[in-house]
Amino acid sequence: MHEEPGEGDLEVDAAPERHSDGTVAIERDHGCFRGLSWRAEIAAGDGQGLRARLGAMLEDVTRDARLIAMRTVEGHHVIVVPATGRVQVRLDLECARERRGELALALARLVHDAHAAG
Amino acid sequence: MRTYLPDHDLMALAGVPAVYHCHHFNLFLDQTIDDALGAEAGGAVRFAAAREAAHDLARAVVTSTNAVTTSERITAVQGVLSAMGHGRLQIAASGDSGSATGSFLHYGHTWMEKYGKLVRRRHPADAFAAGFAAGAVEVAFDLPRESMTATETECLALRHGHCSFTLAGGAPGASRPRMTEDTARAHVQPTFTGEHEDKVAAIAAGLRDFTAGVAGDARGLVQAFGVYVTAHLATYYNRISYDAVARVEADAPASVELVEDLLRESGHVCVFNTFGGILLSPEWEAMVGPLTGDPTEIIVGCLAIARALGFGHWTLAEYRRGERLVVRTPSSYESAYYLARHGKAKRPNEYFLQGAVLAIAQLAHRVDWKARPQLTQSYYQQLFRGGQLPWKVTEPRSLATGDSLSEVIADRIA
Repeated sequence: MHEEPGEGDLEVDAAPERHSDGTVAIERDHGCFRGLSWRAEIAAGDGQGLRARLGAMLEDVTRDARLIAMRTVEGHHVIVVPATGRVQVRLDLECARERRGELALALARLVHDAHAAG
Repeated sequence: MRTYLPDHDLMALAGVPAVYHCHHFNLFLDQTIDDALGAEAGGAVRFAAAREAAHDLARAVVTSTNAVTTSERITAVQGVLSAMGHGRLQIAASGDSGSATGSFLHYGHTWMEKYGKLVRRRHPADAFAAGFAAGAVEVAFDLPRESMTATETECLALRHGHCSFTLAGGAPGASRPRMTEDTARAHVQPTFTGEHEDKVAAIAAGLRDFTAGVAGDARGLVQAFGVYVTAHLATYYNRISYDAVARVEADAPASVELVEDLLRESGHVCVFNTFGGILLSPEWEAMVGPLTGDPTEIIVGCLAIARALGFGHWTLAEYRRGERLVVRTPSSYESAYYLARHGKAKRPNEYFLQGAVLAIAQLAHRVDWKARPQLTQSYYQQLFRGGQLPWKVTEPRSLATGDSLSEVIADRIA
């Protein structure tokens, strides 16, 4: 018969999870990859200044201006949709599972600060 | 290397029919074949299909890259496998024997990710990689098509540290016509448009741009839209599906309906996970805008996604909110294969298309998109297995039976 999971890894990922440092808040985003994908929000805008400021700190891997994409030296990605303010932090698979929330929050904070500096 | 048949949206890699599918679909379809035929026979069918398709791809790749030596050829083909998101394979062969080792192979790796803590698997998972290795060696050494065998002796999904294969020569298989982009072109019908065509076409084009640069990471895997994505060989999916149905028809005809239902369910699995993941992605939000939850928006989006993934020129023929969804297409990767290999079908048999249209109706009407749902297995169970589905799907016209188009209708059950 088809082997279907019951209460397994996917359900662990499904559990709501949020982190906040008091200013910036992140929550687990869609995906089934064990805490590798996180969501945050900033105010919507045109994104040009934000892209320049983030690009000064991270590698700019943007392919389409509608979707800002930055990569850290550790291989994490920060994605921003300027038109809506959606931020997605995609952590590299190799990062320690227990540190994923903390790492994602730090990267979301980076985006928040770069945005606030505009 | 990637091309689309203009106005028909069938994809090819180096001229070999291909589509994108996620690991949820891939695992489900493989399991369906094994359930239908038994694990041993199912594995053999999956291996043979992979070997055939891989041989054709490998031949096209070594030709286009001008790879001359066996080493160059194997390196080129291994690189393509990783770029397609299937993991890494290291082949060591000398003529008609050899071995291969795999790391992060798509099937074994994702099976462990999805089921590893819940189920003890008893058979290797990587028949596709085994077939790929066999096909690659055939081409590298100019051996007859479908002549190599490969056996997976260690598998990540069996809790071994890595995947290993032994390769050996054998008698060439039955001669089968190659499935190519030209084969697909010969089995499509004059194209047409549907409702919201401009929007569907624009989104599909945008999605193609976004996916054009996607390739395997350092592991040879593609993680995108919340799933592991593969560029996959359409002949693999088609051959295993139609060969399984044919064998069950011959050996246990009473079970055909069940197998067909499972093949349709593969469409549910794909639409829920991959289409849903794309709809919820930042890429979608940037390109199309945030989801409003309007069912028409979801339907239009799903048709565009299908085109971008290479499934065919899916169009919206009719939509009555909450009552009826009609999708028509002049092309489908299933019918192109079936017509080329088997001739006209006795009954509509584009199982994936049928299941996908039903799933689109479900996603359009029963998912609260503004709430940003997590597309988990339990949510899938709730939507698709929580009793009688509120939609009934029929395919009154089918390219596979000789009609000028395929028409799939999802009607709300009163």
